[in-house]
Amino acid sequence: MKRTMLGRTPSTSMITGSLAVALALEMLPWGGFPAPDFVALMLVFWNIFQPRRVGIALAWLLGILMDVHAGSLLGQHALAYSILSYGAIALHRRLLWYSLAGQALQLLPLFFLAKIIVVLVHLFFSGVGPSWTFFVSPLLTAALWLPVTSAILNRLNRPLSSTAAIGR
Amino acid sequence: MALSQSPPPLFKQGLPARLRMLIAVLAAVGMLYSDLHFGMLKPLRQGLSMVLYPIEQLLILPRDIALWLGRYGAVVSDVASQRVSLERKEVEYSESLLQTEQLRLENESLRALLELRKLIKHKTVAAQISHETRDAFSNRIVIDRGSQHGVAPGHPVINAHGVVGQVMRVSPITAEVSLVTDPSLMIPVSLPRSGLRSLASGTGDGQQVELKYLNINAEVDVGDVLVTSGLDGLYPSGLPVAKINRVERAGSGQFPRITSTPVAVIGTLQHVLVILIDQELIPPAPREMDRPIPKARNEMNK
Repeated sequence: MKRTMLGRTPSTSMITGSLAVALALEMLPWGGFPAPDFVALMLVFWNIFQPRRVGIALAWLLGILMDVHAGSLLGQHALAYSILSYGAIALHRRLLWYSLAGQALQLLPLFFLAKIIVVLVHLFFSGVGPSWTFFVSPLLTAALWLPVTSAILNRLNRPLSSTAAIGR
Repeated sequence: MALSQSPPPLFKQGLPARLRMLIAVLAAVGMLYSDLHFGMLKPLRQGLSMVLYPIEQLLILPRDIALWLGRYGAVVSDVASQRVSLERKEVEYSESLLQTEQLRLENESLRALLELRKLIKHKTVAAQISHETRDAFSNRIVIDRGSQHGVAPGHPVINAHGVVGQVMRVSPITAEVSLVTDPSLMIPVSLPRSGLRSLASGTGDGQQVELKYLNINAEVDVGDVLVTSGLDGLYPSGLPVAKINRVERAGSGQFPRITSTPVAVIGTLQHVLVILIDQELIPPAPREMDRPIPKARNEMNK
């Protein structure tokens, strides 16, 4: 069995850069389209591969930024992302032993959970539920796990790809 | 930080993850409550949104350019025909404009005779819709005018077709507007044909406006236009709000279910008008604008 792992430690600028790109993608004018949650995706990725550098505190801060952008109550996304991030960190040792598709499948409930928390908070405070399309977004997020993870892994493993250290 | 070289984290882990999550969750819940009940976080939100605003605008730019280019091509192709029709319209309107002016004067003198309160003429601010908010439940748009231009929460927003919605939250250079399809917004309306008064509010699906608490025997038909009644002192009376598209007669003891579609079609890059009404006319907000009138509960079960 092969374990998914990073060939070398990603630089801090790579981590912040990827999270910034995710935030920028969120800010595109999606309108009512149930776009995947890019920030959640990148957050979970770094939670799993670098749990000691990207943790719950960062998740919380990103959540506050998302709340300001989305115009929702402050703390709504912060709550969801904190729990999402905890889930990802709790999973991270086990998850790396699965194939990418298996990982996406295991993360799907986690993304759903994060979405449901946002919905529940909104429901609790204002009594208005979402339309069903809202739940398409976690599916897309989980589906994006495959290309995003393989892209970043390729990038980090490339310089070492000729040595035997990777294909263990 | 060369963390990947450090020994397996058997010993120094800092706070356990479970505790950290607990702290984060408590902080988030605390924030939710203080945002909702005390409004202490307004400066924080405004500060952050000022930081995010230029980035948001930058990201919207490609779309705006594409839209503008598309529109430019269209405009060039039929600018001549448009000019002819516009000139014709101008002639048509000029006559009715004169008439309205006369009617206004006449109305004013009649009102003076009857000693009625004068119709208030409000200042307005023209704004452009910049984007819809990402929050999928609330039917909100963001416009490019804010508190610097005099916009404040509670101000009605209209466009050429009718009522668009109401300002909910402002930052110095932007404002969030709840659309009429938002369930948390209630607009007092009347039916011009029968003179009945009612309340209109969104159904939450982003398409429809529902008519509340109307008499069972109310004379309502598909195609009727709801206009603002002006009873709340916020919306000027007589502005179209929505057109009725479905009437479901009620059984005994029930209200009829009447839905309608808003007349103001919302797209991007459109112009809207914010009506700056006197602050003392605006009723106190139901604590932070996010809490709607508590009628929405029973609506989820339908």
